[in-house]
Amino acid sequence: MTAPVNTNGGGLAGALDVLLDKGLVIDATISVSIIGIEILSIQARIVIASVDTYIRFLEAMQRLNAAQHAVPGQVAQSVTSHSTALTYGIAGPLGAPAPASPIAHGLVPATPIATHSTTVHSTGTTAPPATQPPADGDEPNP
Amino acid sequence: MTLHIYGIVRATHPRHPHTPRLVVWQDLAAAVRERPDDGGEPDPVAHFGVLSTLVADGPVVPVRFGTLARDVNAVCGEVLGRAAPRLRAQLDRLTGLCEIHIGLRFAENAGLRAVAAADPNWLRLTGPLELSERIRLGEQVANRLVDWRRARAEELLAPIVAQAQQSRPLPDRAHTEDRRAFLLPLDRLRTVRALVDEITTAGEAHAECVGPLPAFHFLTDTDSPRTPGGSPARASRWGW
Repeated sequence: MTAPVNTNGGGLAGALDVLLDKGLVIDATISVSIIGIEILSIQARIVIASVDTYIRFLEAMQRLNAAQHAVPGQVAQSVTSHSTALTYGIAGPLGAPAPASPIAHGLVPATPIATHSTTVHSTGTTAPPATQPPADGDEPNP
Repeated sequence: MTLHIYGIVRATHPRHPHTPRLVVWQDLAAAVRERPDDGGEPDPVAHFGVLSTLVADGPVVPVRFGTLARDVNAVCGEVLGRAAPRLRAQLDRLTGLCEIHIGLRFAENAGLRAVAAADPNWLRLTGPLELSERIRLGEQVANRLVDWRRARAEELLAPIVAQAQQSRPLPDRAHTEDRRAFLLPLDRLRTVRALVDEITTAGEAHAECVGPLPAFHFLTDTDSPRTPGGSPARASRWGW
């Protein structure tokens, strides 16, 4: 007999998001029904994570480019100067008051959220409102 | 007695001490378990674990998780009897087959280095950027990272694709994770698991395999309920 699931329960748990809404649907009748199961949608969490992820990717790419194009012996300086620039975006320039955060005021890019991030099925009826935590250094929401 | 339904099998499906009860109707059977009188939510992980055990011994048409029948008569009349021709056809088609999910996790740093190396002059920026511009450019980086990941996954999974009958992409969960469902013969499961281990050993990506499972992603359209006009009925989360 072929061995059952290769991974432990964690593997199956990880596959739930693509299994829970699959399978034969028995036409709803009085005597057969599907009970509603409240499962938290993870779409909201992915939306929140994407913005920070994009910024982190950009910063990492800039560091890599700086290292690639640095003159030998000057790598530390070029990375440092980039580090200064990298802190400008969200937290503001070093020593300056942080600008009003568009994230704290609910700014969400119109299109990027849908890219590669929202193909997870919503399997529940209740999803929390997509609130976004302020980034480090930002002023809290009024 | 309310019955929780796992899936449909042949009446001759092998039985073991820990497999669920089979409610038999002609040459078909439904794998069921009695739901406790106090109700409670069924455990999805345990549910799919039961299906994984069942499919190892023969074809299974999985039923949507959470499907309950009022009693044995409902199982025979409303489930098995009503869809018998479709169920028989599906069981014949799925004989000897199972579904597995393979996930590849790539290191983010390695992916970003590959993206940077592919086009060294891209994103050479100077000076501060507005937040919206940073997000937009970061999204472009993410898109390139995903393209790189998909290309690498295609190459790494090629030996496994050769073993399978069909494959389907699964929803992305992260930019550096690739997940796919494969329909493959049960007798190739060990070979595929060994190939998955080789991918991890090679070091470029961490590979995981979940299965065997019934063919959740490879049921044909004929398995879907139809409206009186013949078009596929909308399969909502609750079956209507």
